[in-house]
Amino acid sequence: MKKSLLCVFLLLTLAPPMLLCWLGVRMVRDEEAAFQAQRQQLYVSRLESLRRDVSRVMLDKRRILGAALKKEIEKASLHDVRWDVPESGRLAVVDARGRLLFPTNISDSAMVAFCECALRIEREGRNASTEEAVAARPGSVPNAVDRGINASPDVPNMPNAPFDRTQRGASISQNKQSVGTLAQARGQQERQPQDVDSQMANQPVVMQQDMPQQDILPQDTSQYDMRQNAPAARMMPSQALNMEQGATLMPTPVLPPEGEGWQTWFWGEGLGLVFWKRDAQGRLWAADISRARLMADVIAALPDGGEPMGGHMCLMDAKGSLLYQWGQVFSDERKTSISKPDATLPLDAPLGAWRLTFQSHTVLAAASHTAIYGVLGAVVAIFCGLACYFYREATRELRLAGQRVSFVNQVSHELKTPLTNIRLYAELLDDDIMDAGGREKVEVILSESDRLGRLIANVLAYARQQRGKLRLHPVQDVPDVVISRALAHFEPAFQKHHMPWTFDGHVAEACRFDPDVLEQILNNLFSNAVKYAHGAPISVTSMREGNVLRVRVQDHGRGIPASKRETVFIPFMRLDDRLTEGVSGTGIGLSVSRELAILHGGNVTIESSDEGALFLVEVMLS
Amino acid sequence: MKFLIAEDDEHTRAGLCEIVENEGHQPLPAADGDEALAVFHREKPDFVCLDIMMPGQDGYSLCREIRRLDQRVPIVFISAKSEEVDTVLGLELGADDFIVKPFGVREVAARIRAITRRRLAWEADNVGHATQAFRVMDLEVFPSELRAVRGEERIDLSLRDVRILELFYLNPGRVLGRDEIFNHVWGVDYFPNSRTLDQHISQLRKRIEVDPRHPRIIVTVHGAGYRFQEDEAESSD
Repeated sequence: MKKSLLCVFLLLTLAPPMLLCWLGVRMVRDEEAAFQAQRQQLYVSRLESLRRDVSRVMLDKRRILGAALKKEIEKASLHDVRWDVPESGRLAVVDARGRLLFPTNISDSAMVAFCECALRIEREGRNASTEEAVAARPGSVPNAVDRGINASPDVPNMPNAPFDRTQRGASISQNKQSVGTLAQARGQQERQPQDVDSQMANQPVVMQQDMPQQDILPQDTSQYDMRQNAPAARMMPSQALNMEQGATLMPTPVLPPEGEGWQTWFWGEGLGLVFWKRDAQGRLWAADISRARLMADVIAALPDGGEPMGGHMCLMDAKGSLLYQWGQVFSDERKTSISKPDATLPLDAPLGAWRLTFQSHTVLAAASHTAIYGVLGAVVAIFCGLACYFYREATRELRLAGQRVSFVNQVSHELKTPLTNIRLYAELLDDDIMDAGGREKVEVILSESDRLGRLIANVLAYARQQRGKLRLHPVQDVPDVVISRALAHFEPAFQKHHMPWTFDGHVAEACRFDPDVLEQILNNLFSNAVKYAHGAPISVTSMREGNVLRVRVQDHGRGIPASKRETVFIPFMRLDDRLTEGVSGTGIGLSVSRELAILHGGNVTIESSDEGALFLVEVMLS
Repeated sequence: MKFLIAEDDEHTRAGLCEIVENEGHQPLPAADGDEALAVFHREKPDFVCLDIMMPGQDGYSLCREIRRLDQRVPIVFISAKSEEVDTVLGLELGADDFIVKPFGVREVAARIRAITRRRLAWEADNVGHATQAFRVMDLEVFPSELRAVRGEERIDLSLRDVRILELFYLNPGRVLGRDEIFNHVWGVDYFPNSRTLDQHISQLRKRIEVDPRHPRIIVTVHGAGYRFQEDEAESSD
């Protein structure tokens, strides 16, 4: 098959299934993506639900701790402070100057670390307030709050680790505009939204506080300076007015406003939480949240045992360590195969460093994908099978034809080559032999080789005729010359079998016809005459009637019965099939002669004759 | 002239070589396509005879290659002519003719002589090496046409025949010994057997003598050689 045709064939047979596969795969992927998105949404909504549960816990704790701190704050003296809140193990109080007021007696390292944390909280809050106050003046330095303050230098900047100072930064900017009384400030202390959900949308609330009253201010403002970490002082209202007027004044300390919030810190066993509250006097009250209690409360808010959605839920800390898990527990092998959970959601502040993860067990889409891929594969296989079938059928004829051609070529070559040698060497020998006896033998070799050549020619012509491959090669030639040549070839045989021959030719002009075809037809007729009409004369005549060449071959043998005048032209049908007949031959001579004549636009027929057989050969001349 | 005979069957190849030699030319045998191409490059033959089905390069590819190198050299295919495509393809590749198996000596000789005539005519036109016609008794010999005429009779001659006749024509009445005839007609490097000349003279007589048994043109001189007598001479055969 030509390459171009093969390419087109392959394109036509492979393009549709490939397109189908592409569409199918795309459809599967889109479906899978949609499924994944839906599933992801489901997971995330479940995690958000859990997050809200945890946030409620933290809100409750804030409420409890806020109330407890308020109670302690309202006590007349720090000596009256008794801190025995279950949620919190430690309490520290730091004044506006950064001095630790409570506890007075520190016994263990944990308390030391906690107090240091409280001091940092107070200091950084005070610094933030001072910087913001400075920033409020023209030409001031940028707000230090934006740097992200943390209680512990070891704590990395958590993206969701809120520091309420940002809120206080907002409150400070508001304080620039309203200088109120402590009572007013205290009256606004409890401004906490009660709706958990609305709080989910916002950050944890910071108390909006006004500037404390003047009577709380330390009288000696010279003790304050603007160095970083130095105790800050509250700004005088007159100074504030001067600020508003844009005058350039000496920097003065600012008393941090009241507020409360959470602060994370890391110590020892890991994440710790501090709830702080700043009173009207600028003192910072910090309560440490018991980690164990925190864990217990958080875990209590989370499901235990099974998970309604199935799968595996985990609560992980900032380092990726597992804090809590529930649902279907994976085997160790499955755990190692999990590279990424199906969904992850960080908790709300102040537990933003923790996150919830979900890993599903089921692979719901696999079944449907397998079915689709199976169908696509079957379709592709069918197309490929059909393509192979058609290609094979299309080339089968070519292969068979090739085999036949190859067979004919091979037979032709293998038979004709030795025949050529026989004839060639017989003729060469004929030139060398002088005696009559030797020459006679050579003549036998030559005549038999000619006979063998005719047989081979008939067999090959028959084979070609079976394949419809008989072809004419018309050339300009003289019919009588061709006839004479054929008679000359049979001269030895005629002489041997005592068959005097005559030729009456009337077509001596050049015509266009296939001389080999005419000669092969005549050879077959002469050969039959030698076989069946030996010992009797044979006459040949030629004439032309219009464009038809007519050659008659008349022998005087036993003839052919009228009933068999068509039968003898059937391949392999002989006049007498008896083995004892002693006539050699393949039985295809007359069949081939007729086919050749028909190919040449004519025919070979048997005419009525008084004696012997009269063959009429008609050939169309161009 | 040098004739390249590319035929894998050794008997056919040897037979063709003998025919070429008998015609007075030098055969260059090759048993396969690759050897034939090597011989062509080395010898630059005047005539190429190619079998189609050969080991190595087949006849078609060899013809294509030879035509690429030489557009003029005559190329004849030896074909079993099993399919028309063989003939068409061969002619399209640049072959000049086909010799169809089974063929005989005369067919090959006729082809060789046709080629030789064309070559002699070309030499006459381009090289200026014209060979004039000459007469030996009543036989008019036309060397460039490889033909002799006696009255109405036309006799085809081989190149060797022409050379023999030319030699005798140039040495009338003189006995020419075997060695002299061989050197002139076959070449000094040729070492024939003792019967070669006699056989060739015998064949030549069959063609040119009125009565080959009583030759008049080429007369045998026993023990010496052969002689051409312009006047009538008795035959000693």
